Amino acid sequence: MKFACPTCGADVEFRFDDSFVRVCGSCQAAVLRGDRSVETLGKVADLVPTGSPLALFADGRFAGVGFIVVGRAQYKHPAGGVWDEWFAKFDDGRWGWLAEAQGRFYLTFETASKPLWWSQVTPGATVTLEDDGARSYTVGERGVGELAGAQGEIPFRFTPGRRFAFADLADGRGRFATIDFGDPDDSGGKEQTFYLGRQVTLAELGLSGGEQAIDAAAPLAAKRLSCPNCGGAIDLRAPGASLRVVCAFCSTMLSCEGELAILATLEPDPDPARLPLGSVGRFDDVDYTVIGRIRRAVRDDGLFTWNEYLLYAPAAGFRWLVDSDGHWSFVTTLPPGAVDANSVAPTYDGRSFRRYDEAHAVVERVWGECYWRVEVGEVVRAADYIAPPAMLSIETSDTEVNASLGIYKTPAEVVAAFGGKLELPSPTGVGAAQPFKHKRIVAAVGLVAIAFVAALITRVSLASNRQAYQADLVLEAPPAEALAEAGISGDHRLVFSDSFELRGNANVEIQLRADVQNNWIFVAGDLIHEESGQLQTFEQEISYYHGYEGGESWSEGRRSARVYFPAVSPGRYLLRLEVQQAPASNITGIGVTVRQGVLRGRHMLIAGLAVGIPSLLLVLWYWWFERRRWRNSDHAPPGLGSSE
Amino acid sequence: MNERGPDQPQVPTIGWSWLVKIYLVLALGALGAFVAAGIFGWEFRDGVVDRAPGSARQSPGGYRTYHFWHSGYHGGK
Repeated sequence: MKFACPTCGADVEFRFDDSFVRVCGSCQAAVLRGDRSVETLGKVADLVPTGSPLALFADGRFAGVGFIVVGRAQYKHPAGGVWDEWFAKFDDGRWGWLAEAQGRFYLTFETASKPLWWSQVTPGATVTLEDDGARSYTVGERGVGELAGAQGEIPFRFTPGRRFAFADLADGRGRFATIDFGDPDDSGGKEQTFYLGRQVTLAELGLSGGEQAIDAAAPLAAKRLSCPNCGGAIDLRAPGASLRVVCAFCSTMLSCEGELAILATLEPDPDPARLPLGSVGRFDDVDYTVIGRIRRAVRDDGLFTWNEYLLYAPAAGFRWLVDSDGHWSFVTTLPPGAVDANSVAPTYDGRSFRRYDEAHAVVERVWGECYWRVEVGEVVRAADYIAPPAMLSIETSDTEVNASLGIYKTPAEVVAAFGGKLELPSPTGVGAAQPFKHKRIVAAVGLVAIAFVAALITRVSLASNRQAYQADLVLEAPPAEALAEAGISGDHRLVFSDSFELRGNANVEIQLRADVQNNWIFVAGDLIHEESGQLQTFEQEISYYHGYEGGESWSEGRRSARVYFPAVSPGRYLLRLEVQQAPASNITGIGVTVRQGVLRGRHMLIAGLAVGIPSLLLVLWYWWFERRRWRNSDHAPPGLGSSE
Repeated sequence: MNERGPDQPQVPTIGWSWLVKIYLVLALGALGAFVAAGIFGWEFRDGVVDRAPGSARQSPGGYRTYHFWHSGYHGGK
């Protein structure tokens, strides 16, 4: 349906029956359609270029339903800057609201829900909305926005300059909601409109076409401005999103809200940047440009400073690379509700985080751009929680609570992300979120401990301890002529055991006993396989000494000894024992017991040492690493804190 | 299931490092050998070292063990 613009007379076409306002393409007037005529609601402001990858008349699909983008509105944010909302007309007749802020996109639809009071939607508060059943949302922010610029067709009465109270909420799992409370001067906001949906990606929407080609991967195009103080060139890399920029030549902090305006002159600071402004690094398959840097400090027992580099990509928004003593983290801001900021041990992505530190962090210096009205001296209360390699940071100020997740990066990873063009120093000590690469050693040692117990049980169950032979043998002197022939003197005696049966796959224990009293015998023995004549030899001393000296009894040695053999071929065996003994000892007998399948304490000891020593060393290494990690924390787990 | 928004980062998990894998292989191997020693009757000692003549039992003084000649043991304290 076409009308003539009430202001300029140009044709104004309403494509859809349920659109309210069409911005005149000729005079920028917001034209409101009535039952039979049109009226103007005033001239809309020029759109602030935000570098949005979206475009009017682009089409796409969401949840299987096609849509076309037909309008766009731009709002002034109470904290400065603007945000865009694009209006998508779906094939099923619905209007979708595609909000765009800091590189993130949220598609919502007007939904009926239980009314809320303005006082209920304070930042951090949790409320229940009717979203496919009752669902819990956390308030991210609330404030008063202002309708500014627009283009195309708008599905509501867009009055330029109108102010409205709003609250943004999220469930931390991708769902998003906005509540429009209408006129902020209407205390409590009687007029409420709920928009519920979720965060989406451009790829998910499959956008194509439109007034300008959509290229989410387009390189960042900087806007070159001139410093009003020194005239130096300033490359504004996130126009529309950045609210502050510091001139690299004269250190003047400028406001980018509209024309550049001088706010303050910062002290020259020669602190060199490890990541130059304008350099491009690739993280998670997205090219980010370094557009700013903030140095923060905490004064506790001493001064501790770190640098936060602001990264920007039009299609992904802002990220941070934090450099703390050479330890790097890639930081992403989390939506409200993703983390319970009031929890002692918050959880995210199924992981529980342990409190590491909390402090008042002060902005010491700013370089380049920033997307909020940053000031030197600005203070936030920051609490850090760790689950290496991740660190959860919760920053609390008077007006908002922000949670972000940092993932630890080694200097080598950062250098690689920037194409190998950087030289970064080695980190100092152990970083708060630095992962211990061999952390699984704890689980591995536990596994080995279980396996060790299982092995012990198996060995005990395998030990048949079968007695194959037992006898007290009488020692006989060999024929004197044989000894003489061999040239042997002294008391040498010889004995054979009876034949006994040994089985296969079981070790053999030969226990020898002799009634020695303050003397010794020496046994040279053979275990002889009767069938083959194969023998295994052994030698064993048996000695036992005892007495009473200095008022105390003492003893040394034993009257028995054991000899072990590996498994033998099954069959019948006998023992041949030759015994030397001290002159006049007159040991005339020796006891012999042969057992098989004997449990060996020595084996257990060797196995225990073989797995225990490396286990202990690895666990000690892990403990030492963790102890260094927690050295700077007041919340170290038991056993890991400093001893002071 | 841990639902996340489209650009909410995942917390990486620390995998099994090469060192831990080597430790596991060696430690479980050692324990396996310990169990195998029980199953097969292994001991830290050589097996067959000699072969006795068939007449050894019939001629008790005629055959001497290796240790008898070579130990040099003269015993005592």
